[in-house]
Amino acid sequence: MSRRLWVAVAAGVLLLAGCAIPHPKDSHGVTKVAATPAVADAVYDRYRVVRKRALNRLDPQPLTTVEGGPVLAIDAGKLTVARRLLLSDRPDSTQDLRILDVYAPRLGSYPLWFVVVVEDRVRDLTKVQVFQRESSTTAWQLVASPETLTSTELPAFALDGTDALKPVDPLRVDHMTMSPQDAIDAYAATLNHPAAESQVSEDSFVTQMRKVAAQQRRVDGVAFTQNWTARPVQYSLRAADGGALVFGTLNRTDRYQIEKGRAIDWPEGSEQKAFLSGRLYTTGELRYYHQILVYVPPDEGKPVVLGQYGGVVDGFGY
Amino acid sequence: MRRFLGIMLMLIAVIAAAVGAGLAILLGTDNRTETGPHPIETTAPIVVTRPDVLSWAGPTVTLTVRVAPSQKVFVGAANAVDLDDYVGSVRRTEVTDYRPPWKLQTENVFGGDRLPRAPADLDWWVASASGTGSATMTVELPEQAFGLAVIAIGDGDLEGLQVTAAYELDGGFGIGLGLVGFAVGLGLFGWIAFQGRPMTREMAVDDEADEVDAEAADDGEAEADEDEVEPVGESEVVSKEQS
Repeated sequence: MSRRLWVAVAAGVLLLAGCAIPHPKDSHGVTKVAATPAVADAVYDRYRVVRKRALNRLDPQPLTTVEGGPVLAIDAGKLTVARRLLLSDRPDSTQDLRILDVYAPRLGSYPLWFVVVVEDRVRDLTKVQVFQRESSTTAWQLVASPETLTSTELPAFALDGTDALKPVDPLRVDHMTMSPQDAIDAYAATLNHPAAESQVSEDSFVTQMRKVAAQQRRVDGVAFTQNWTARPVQYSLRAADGGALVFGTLNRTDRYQIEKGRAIDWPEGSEQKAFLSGRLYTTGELRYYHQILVYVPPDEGKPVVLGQYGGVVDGFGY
Repeated sequence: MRRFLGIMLMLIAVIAAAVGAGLAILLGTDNRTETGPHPIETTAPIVVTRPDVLSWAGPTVTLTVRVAPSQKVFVGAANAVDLDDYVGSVRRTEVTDYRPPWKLQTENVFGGDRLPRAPADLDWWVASASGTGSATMTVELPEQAFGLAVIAIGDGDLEGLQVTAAYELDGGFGIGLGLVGFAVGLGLFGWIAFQGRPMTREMAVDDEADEVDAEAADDGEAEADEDEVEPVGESEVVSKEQS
């Protein structure tokens, strides 16, 4: 009885001392979990305010402080279309964006980035967004924003012992059917060569893009060509099943060559009308960005697009 | 075995007593110890610690920096990833090694003269303070890899920099005394064990009871032996009678 009491006292004192006495730090080296949920909330609050201001004014300029890369180009393109055409159905500035989850990797240097899964209650969509901080002195910016249907189930993300996301090297296959960069390249190849055997799934994104291209080709007196290229993958993360979720961006270029003596009048409210002036006589070119969220499975199966966000970013024509 | 156990317990007790007494004396009743002011020789506008210099977490540190009376100064603590990105391209003095209470090794690193942005405009400082001529910052050393930075604001530098550091450990004095008390008890326990005496009344009673039981067991065994012999004898007698 007495011996047990001594052991209990000893254990209690040592435990008490152990809590407060200086101890070596954790073994994660020089790293930082990119953002806490509180940081993500603050970043998103600011984003909501600035986005609303930009939508109300049809002015992309405020967005430059909270968005960057392809997302900024796509949103600026949408606002430009709306402003040039003074659309009656201007972009809806009412927004009900609620953060469902925040995931952040543990990184050793800048740029830092984190992922938020956001419920868009107005448009009934789920946005899987990436915010990036380029350097310690710059602000957080939204750099990827693919949208999925609310019915689309995202694969569970793999987390390390500290609940940090596990990034995947975009160029390494690493127990998957292909590397993240290869998956995005394969989508570009599939869209460029519809007849060739595809390394990716014939998903709704591929179907939709082919349908759009087919519609353009049907215009009389116009030679239409479309070209897809993949941009370097920057953000990819491990899924719990060993696969990967890849945030990729595809560049799309639509070219119109008009036969001599003919002209094209673009439909009212179309992005072509906004960027290629009212009537096209000779040639025209529109450039688009499409951000896609691709799931690359482990071992077997083809990559599949879970969500996308895209739009025209610039163009010219005469 | 008991003697060895006793020696081990007394050894642990001596160590615990030394640590406890040292902690209590070092921190005092205010749970705080201070060192400085110590000069740091630098002509750079920034002094930072390298990430591996502060490898311990737990205690609260209060840092008071003094520079020329007219010089504005900023002192901050931040994750090493943030700090390295911020000051990485600027001329600075890096603290490469630190031994308590105050032994520093420093290295001058070349670079530009201007930081990309004023330190007070950044949101990732774990703790920070600024002032003219001096600044005082308190921070609990976190688990993450982090560093301390002293930055001259404006065009000046940190010539004449003096640093005073105070270490605080909540309840440290009490923990020290507790350890001493624990050590005394443990030492007594070890001494008793070393002497080979019964350690407690209960154990003594137990031991006596054990001895009685042992004797009884011996007797029992003897009796059992007899019991085992007797039937044989009887059976032999019986068998003899039968025969």
